[in-house]
Amino acid sequence: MTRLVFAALAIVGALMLQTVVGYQLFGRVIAMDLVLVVVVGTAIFFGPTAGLVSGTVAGLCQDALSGGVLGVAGLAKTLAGFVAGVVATQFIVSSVIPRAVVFVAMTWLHGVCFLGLYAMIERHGMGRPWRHLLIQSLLNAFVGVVATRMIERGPEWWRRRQYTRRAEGRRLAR
Amino acid sequence: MLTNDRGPVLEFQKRTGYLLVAALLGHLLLISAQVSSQQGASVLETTIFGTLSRVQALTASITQGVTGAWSNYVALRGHRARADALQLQLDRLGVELQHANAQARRAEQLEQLLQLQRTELPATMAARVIAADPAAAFRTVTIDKGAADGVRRDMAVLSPLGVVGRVIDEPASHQAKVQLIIDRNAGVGAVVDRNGAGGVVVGSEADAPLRMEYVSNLADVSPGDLVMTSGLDGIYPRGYVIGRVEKVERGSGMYRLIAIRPRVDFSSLDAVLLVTGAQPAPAASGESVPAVPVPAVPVP
Repeated sequence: MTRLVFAALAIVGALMLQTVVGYQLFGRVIAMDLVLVVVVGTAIFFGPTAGLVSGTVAGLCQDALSGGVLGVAGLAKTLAGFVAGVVATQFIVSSVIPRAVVFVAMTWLHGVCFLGLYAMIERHGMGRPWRHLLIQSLLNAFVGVVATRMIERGPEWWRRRQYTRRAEGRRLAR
Repeated sequence: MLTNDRGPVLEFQKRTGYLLVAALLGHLLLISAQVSSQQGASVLETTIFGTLSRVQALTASITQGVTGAWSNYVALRGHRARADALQLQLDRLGVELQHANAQARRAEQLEQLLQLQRTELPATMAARVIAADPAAAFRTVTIDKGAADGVRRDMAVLSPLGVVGRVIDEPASHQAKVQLIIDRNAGVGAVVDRNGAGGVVVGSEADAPLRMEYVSNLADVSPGDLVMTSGLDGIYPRGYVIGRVEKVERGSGMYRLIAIRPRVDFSSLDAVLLVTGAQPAPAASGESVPAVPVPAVPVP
């Protein structure tokens, strides 16, 4: 239940950060897909089922807020979340480089699915924005690695800080 | 089969497999239902948009509150000189407005004299852009006015600089989705201001975010020409600025390849105007109409 609430809050937070805060502060310059970062992060932490479910929910929300066909981003994110979860359970992705590779690969998987589906649905499709996809995958990897590291190491760092402060306080009191 | 200490590699729970298949099938059915029918937004989409757009509006008000507190109090130091300069500019503009009013009265008399059709300023409603599209592939924004405020599907959206887009899908009660004219699925009936050559302006993925289609190779179009709405699409009122021609090439078929740079800066839209009133009726046959569309906004 805690996982579910955490994942739901992270998805809504990422959507708001990308659509509202990012737009109002920086305009249309943010190339990264924060929602995908959250989906892949959820899959890495909680496994393929959580990745799949979070991908479905996040993708549908993204489709509903955008001007596209409902279900396209949903399908692409479902697949990305599931594959990321399977990769994370079968391989060790706790260090920086393997984790960055997962984020990059999932961004490409998501992008290819998304563009492929639109190429089948629409007359013109979306072309081949590979350069944009490359930039997005690198940004996603950077943000994803930093965020997951902070989630993993943040609580421990906080406890150490509190412990050091208390120890210092006791030393000063003596 | 490859194995590790946790069991066979690439083997996951059956339940997850079923869930994946169900999710993928569900998505495919959802997509195919929309693609085959094309009857507007589904109930699911409207419900999700209605719910999430409320969260967007709340987040936008919090962000605006924080940025407003910064820009209204902290960042206002040293703005006295700027305010004085703006006051001077306002005074000068007041004089120019009087002059423009006098010219408008004179033009009105001439119109009556020549029995020309009047181009009325349509009724508008102001709205604020609260969010952008979460997918970079689309060009839509969410505004803070919805069905309860009188917003309807296909209403034109303008800004002081020119045409912004139109309302798509069914609006939520207090939010609506606007498709920008730079979206690759958007289209606007347009004319070249200089000679009235008509065509359709559509969104483009190229460097110039707009291109004008269906303009004959014989038409005289050159870089720098102003492109305006023709009003023939039934959505956008006539005579509003879209942008300027950036590049013109002779096409291989019958039509020219025209790239257009839009007047509106779509990266930082803030306040927009929704056209709520009916646009002026097209000229009746036998009645003389101006050869060049009349811009309702000043063109520098």
